[in-house]
Amino acid sequence: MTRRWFWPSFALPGVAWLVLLFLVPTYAVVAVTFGTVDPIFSQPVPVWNPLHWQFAGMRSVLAGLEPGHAFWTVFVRTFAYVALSLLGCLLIGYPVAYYLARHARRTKGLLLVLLVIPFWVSYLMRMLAWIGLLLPDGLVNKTLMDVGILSRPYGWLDGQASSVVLALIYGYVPYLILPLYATLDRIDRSVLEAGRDLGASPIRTFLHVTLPLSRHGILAASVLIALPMFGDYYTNDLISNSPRTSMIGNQINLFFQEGTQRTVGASLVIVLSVFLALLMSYYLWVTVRASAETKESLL
Amino acid sequence: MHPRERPTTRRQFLIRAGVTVGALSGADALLSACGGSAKSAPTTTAGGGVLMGPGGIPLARRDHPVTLPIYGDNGPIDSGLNLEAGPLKLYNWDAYINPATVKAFEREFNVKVSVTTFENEEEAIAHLTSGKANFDVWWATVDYMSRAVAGKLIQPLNHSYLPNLKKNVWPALQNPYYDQHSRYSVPYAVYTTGIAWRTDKIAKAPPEYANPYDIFWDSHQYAGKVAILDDQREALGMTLLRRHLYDINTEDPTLINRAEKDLSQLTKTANVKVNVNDYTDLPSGKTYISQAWSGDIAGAPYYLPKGVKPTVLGYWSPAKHAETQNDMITILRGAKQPVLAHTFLNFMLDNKNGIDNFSWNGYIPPLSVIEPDKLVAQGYIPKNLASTIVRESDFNRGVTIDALTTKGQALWQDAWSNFKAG
Repeated sequence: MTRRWFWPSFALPGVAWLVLLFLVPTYAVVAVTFGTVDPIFSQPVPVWNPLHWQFAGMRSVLAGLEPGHAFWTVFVRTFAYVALSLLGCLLIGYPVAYYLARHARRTKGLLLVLLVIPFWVSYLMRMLAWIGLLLPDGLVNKTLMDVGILSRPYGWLDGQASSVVLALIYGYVPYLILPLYATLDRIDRSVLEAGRDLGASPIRTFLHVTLPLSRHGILAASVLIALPMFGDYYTNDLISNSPRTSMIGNQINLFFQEGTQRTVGASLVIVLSVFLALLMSYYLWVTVRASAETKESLL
Repeated sequence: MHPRERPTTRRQFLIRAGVTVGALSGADALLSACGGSAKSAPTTTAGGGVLMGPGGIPLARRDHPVTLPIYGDNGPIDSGLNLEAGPLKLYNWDAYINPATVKAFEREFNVKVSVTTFENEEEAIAHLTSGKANFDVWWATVDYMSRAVAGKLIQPLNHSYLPNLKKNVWPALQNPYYDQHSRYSVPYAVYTTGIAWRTDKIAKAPPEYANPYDIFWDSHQYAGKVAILDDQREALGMTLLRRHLYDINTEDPTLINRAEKDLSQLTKTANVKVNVNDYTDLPSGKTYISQAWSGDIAGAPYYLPKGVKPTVLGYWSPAKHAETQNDMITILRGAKQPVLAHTFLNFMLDNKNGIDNFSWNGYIPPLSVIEPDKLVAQGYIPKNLASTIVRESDFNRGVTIDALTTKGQALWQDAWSNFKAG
């Protein structure tokens, strides 16, 4: 009996951690979503008993999610920004991770340190630095004007969607490179050599061996950066401030910061969480299926 | 930036302006601005009656002054009590009080004072209602007064400890409409909301327009360089004022929807920015036209790049019906040092201490001793920004953002959310 529970008991701290810091807070958000607000100070009053839940906030959010309505607009915009940023991160991050895993030799350690350095600086500080670069008289405009690409300063900070997407890429790309590097580094070199031995060109080997074998790494890294990007609001706040680039995180912040409709803000959190849970489910499904396929091939 | 979110660096601007506290502190004979009762456009009410707020307290309007109730279980302290030993705990907006003024209080009364700060009123309320806060003095805004009283968050004042209220404060704010007889609060600082611009960047300044607010809707050539305040009441309220609708506390859905549409037009016209960076974005050239708070623009020259003169900045607010606000100081119900807290309020209403505080934070206290022209002459405010100075007459002629009913708050917030969704 003791032996039976010995190894599973190792999971106890993790389970306790998960319950205390994930399940309980998540249920608290649900209780606020379907709760009320204090009639005097408008502070949220969670309702823990589902029998007493109220649905006005959620109904308001679902109505706003109809095409053409406010929440629909920001959800679609957020999805587009995240998709574009993800694509940008992959285009920048994959070659870097590939180089690190396959071709960097003596410089590998140094390059890895350089990749980790951005983690030492808070995201907020990096965004503030980005603002300095994008100012009308900032380094980006000066450089582009010096090389003749621009004739006058471009208004990067004038509420441009492109600036928000670029900032998201800048902010999140380090988080994509490291897991991708780990995946690429683990690919058995003999598999690549087999592809070359069978006459495949380097490009064909990459497309038919390396890329498929790194698919799960791409998916994992994408999930890792897409989840926080969906809830991001301060990148837009710092870089743009324009309603044209408002993301769903900005709407959540708006309803949480002030007013009597905290339940609407909490409902937006729940809707976004459900959406992200669906994305995560797809990732888990792909991972489980891949694991099953690997087992089958080994048998 | 709202007085609620003030940068500490503003004091450096004022110090740089070469102004000493002593220069004004001796000016006891300065003019006393005109008094008179506050007037404003009538309040919109659903059925012609007075709007009721939380706890059954009528919502204060300039034409509906409110005497806040004193509850049996939350009365004022007795007169003639001895000072407590301290420490006095202040709960204030970040960088809203001169540390030297706090030190002066400590020295004068031989007590320790601690200052804890908050970023916005919502954060303060959440903290104060959590039951874990143990502060004595709290800086409040008009729109939270009735709620703070209904929730018994603050205690009534005993005026025997506050002789400076009658002696030094503008008559209009000795008996304010939101707190008749100053039962729960004393005033702290006043400011207007207007339009600020870069004189070197735009072709036609707001005062050159028949309706200066039109500049926002005529700013397509400055797209991306136009900003409004990230404050639903200020931004939507401005569209009402532009249409000469002076009840900026309306709860009429038709008017609020129209305000939303007017504001959304700014996104199409000028890709308007929404933030509270008026005091830095105008000086840096990130924006050319901005809705702004007077106190922010008074301090904006400090943020100008080296070599750029303050004359590049302009500020306008209407002579009549300007959005004119004031913040106030209150004593919390659970104050452990209530006599000391009263003494502190009275200390802040002292002419010298009020000016001392202004010399650091740049926001004008409503003290009769302050003569606006001298603020310019002595370098507190650049001449071209004299319009940022708020006089008692401005306050009397202005309109104020007041508290709304729960339904009204939701209407304004929905309009704001729709606008901010782009």
